[in-house]
Amino acid sequence: MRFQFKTSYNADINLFKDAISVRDYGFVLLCFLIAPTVILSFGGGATLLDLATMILIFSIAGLGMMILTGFTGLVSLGHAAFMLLGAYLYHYISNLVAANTYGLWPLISGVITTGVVGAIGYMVARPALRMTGIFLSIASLLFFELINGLLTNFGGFTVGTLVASETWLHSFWLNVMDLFRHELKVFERVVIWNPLSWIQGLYNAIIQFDVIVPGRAEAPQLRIAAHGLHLYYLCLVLLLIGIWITRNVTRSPLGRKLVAIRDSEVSARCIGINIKHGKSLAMAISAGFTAVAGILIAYAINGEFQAGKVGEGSITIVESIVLLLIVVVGGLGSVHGAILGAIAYIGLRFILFEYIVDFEHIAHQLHHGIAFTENWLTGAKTYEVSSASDQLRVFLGGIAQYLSEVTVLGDIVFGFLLIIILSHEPLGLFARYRKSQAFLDLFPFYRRNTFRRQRAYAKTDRLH
Amino acid sequence: MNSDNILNVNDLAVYFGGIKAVDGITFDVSRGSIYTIIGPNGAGKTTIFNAISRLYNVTRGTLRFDGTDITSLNAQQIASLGIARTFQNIELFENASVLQNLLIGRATHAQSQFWHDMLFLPHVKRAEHEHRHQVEKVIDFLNLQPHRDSLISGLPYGVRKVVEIARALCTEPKLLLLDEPASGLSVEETQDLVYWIKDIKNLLGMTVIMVEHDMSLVSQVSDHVLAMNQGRFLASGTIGEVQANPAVIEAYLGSEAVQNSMSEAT
Repeated sequence: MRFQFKTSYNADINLFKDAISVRDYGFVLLCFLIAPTVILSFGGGATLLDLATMILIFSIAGLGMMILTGFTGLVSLGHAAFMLLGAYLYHYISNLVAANTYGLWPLISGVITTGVVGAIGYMVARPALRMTGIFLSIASLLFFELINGLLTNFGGFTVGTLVASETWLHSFWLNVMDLFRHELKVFERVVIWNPLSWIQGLYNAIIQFDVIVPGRAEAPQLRIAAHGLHLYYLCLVLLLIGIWITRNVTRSPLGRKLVAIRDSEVSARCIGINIKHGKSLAMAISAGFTAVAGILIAYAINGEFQAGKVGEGSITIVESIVLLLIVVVGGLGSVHGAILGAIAYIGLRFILFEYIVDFEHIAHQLHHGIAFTENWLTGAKTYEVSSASDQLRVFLGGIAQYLSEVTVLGDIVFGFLLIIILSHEPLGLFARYRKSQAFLDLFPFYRRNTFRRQRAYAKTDRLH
Repeated sequence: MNSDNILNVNDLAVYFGGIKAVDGITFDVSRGSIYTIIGPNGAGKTTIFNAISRLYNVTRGTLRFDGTDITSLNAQQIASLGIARTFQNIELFENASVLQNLLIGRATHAQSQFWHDMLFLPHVKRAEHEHRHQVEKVIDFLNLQPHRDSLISGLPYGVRKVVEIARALCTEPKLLLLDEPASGLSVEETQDLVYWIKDIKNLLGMTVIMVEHDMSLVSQVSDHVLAMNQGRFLASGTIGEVQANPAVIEAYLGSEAVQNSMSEAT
């Protein structure tokens, strides 16, 4: 059992509840910090590292979606448009300065991009918010199609399908590393004697910073790994900033206004909250977050994650829906939800597709097995449908053939898993997290009904 | 325009198509008084409230608050002028704690730039302390200490009613509109409410307009009563005068009751 004794108003304002939660979140942060070295030193390779990076990127976008859907109660199906805008605009702005003069320019253009996409989000929201509910979602869907069509088809203005350059990232990190080069050398000498293998991995990872020199094309393998590492830590830093901003929103008047708009528009108006401005602001902040994720995805895709180009099947309407699913699976209305949802969604999907089950393989085996059995049963290669067993053969063979051709079988299983998760925990993974925390806190005395919600009465005479 | 009157309602009419919800109501509310509107169901009492807080558009007539014409303002401007209200069917922010609900009530006093909030600059934090201080005063006033951190969705009905009044008080209004504050409350809770409404008037110096069916509450707190039926004016005056008015008795009990009371009187 632990009690929080509040002795100051700051107890309700501070980022962390108490020293214990500082310790807990510190531990989580430590896990994220050493994750790539663990992955690399245990032979996880670049694929797993890219997976971790993707989780971070989708956490950032998930935070944006959480502000819009979780805190303000608006559902947008067009957030991939902000990703696209972010990626394209960043590409344009960062190329404004000659290719070899980097310095802080990547950062500055990132900030500019985020601001501009946020402003676009605000301007789009202003007219779109004349609609509510499902109609707003449909409007946002159309917005995505519009942006997607414009960006990919007007190549003269927008470079068409975008192939993001990865060089800026290397150079940016080289500049940063230059500042700490001396300290790194000292660090190398220290860690080389450490027997733990993951520290060895960290050492290897750090050494790779030296390998990358612009213009020297040696050791492409290492370059890719180092590129991944740079991107991972960049994403981690941006995610931390994103969490900080989201928490600031939730603990300030702004976040409370959004919650008021979500829960009861009528009384929000009567209290003096400008509904339109509030909703548009939520859209703008959300668009900014998503734009950052879009910039990062452009570079992640251009790395080793996926051979694809932005705007040509890599950022599609699916990303919008993935974002929505992330916040719903994670638990609406909490910062934890966005990150838990991203880990669960991206991680689960990856494991399902890459590691545990190779569905196509199974389907092929099934097909061959049936073909074998069929030959064995009939003893001859006659394909006339005559007997009952023949009919069964044709039927099963048809199913197997179908399964082997349907490559979306993984998606079907995945969707089924999501349904199971949500039917058991409609309030998302964060609710499950809080329940397990309460279970541990109250250990022998935990009651199943602690978190049961009951509807006290029905609202009848609503004004809207 | 008497400066003693905080609200002047002149020939107010609200029509919904052919339905005349409020039809030509005129009344003045004097500063620092408790003004009660009574009437049978469907009399248009809540419609008057919705017209004052500008949720409904006014078909005819003018509303003047503190000398300014508020007929064409929007709901948000009404709130910043200093009119707060509660709802008959509680409209609290269900998935937030009591404390957050009350802090939301401070919205008109917390007009900082959005990016100041996003970065949580020092002055935002100082303002938060100030808001919290004001909210704590209201919490002490209405004895909400035990419920400070509990979610609204887990609170009993009676407490929610009080939280809604508390949220209205947090906006520091000059005029408080209470829409059936005692409906659904137990006798004890209603008695608490009597003291609180009197304190709101005497200690906080606010003007209260109340719609209420509970006659014991009305007779204990109101300075002035307006009775209406079918959107039209019936009677006005002190509670005794209104209760004795034949038109009021007829509206509530039917014309037979009026004849009976007349024969008793003679």
